[in-house]
Amino acid sequence: MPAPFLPFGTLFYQLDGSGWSETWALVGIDYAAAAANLDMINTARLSFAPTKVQVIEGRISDSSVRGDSKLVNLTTAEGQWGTPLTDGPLPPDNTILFRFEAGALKRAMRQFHGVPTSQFSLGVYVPSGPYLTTLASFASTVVPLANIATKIKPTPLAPPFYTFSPYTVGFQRGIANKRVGRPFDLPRGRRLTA
Amino acid sequence: MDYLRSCYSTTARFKAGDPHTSVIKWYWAPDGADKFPDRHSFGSLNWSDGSGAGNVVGEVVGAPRLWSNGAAPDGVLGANFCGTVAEFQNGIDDFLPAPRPQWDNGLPTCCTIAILCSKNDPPDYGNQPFLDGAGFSHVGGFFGVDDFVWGRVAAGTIIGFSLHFEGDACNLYPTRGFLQHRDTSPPGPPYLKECELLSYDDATGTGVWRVPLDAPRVPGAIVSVVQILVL
Repeated sequence: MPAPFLPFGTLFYQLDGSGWSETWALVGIDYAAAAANLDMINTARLSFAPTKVQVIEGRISDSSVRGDSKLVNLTTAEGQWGTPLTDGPLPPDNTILFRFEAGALKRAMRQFHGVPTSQFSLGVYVPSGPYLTTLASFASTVVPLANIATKIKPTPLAPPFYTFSPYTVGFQRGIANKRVGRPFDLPRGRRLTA
Repeated sequence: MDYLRSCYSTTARFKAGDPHTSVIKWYWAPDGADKFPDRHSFGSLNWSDGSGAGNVVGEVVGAPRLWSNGAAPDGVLGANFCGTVAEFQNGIDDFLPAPRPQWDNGLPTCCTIAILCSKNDPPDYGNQPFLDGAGFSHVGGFFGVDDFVWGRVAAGTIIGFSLHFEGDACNLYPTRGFLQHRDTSPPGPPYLKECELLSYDDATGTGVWRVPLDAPRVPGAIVSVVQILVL
């Protein structure tokens, strides 16, 4: 019996000189369905990001094959919240914290870089009503499209290597901090030491 | 093929079940390069997480990965790939009896590259129309290999072009012409289409190319800016 198709989708983002990826265990019976779901997640994701946050590309990978890769075209290219002049982003290390649950026993904390400065007052996170609505909309969009992936242990000899548990609920939990990485797609040399 | 923060070289297997492996090297895609059109098995193992999944072709799990600076081989355009999609997914059926012919930069000749020679200043023909759909245009002047010419044409009407070469720096005759869609109003997707060489006269240095019928058009555009590369 063929292994079930358990796809991971990765979105590559950049903000100024920083880059990060966000990986989702996707719902989808094939690459096309998974790609469509990843595209919807990206659109919802960018709805609460400042315009300077840009997505580079999406990538689908079947978890049963190492090195499996399919690049995905995405509908929404940049953040949709605010305007660059009035609502720039905080430094990229700042994140919006979400909690997703799959039933009562499984949960995943997710952090999303690109926090609009307009949601802060005197250095304190004070999200506006429309922003909270957008965050809630993002969570409700993602819930039917993604899963919590759990590695099967001990590692089996043949796929599947994960169990996918569908999200049942998701909600934002305020802000957090997570170091952001280097950008993708730019040639970089070794650091000079002398 | 994939996304990376840093490039490297490693070994990969191209035929399932075969002990032979080859060294592969990741490099940054040049601007305008095409994406691989389908899923494949040669993604970077940087994105695998030790789940236990294996692969029959592609990067060898556990093989050393040595940093490289990501510089692309000279002349790479990223406009095509060698082999079939199925071979990138499942591996090759068998090895070729002999290595593929190679360009001077070591890439197989099935890879479309720009001819490797010094680049001359490109002539800019601005808004000069190439043709009106009635026939081939003729652009006079001096062109060397790797030169390119700009112009505006009515969308959907360009069917071919001819260029006159009076010399080249590499002692190589131009044999490949490309139509490259650039910025347009309204904007359309970029593409690079190889055009068919109908004739080339060594004595006069005149080549005639035909634009393929399946070259994408820009719906509703009045004018398009096209770039013709002579490689």
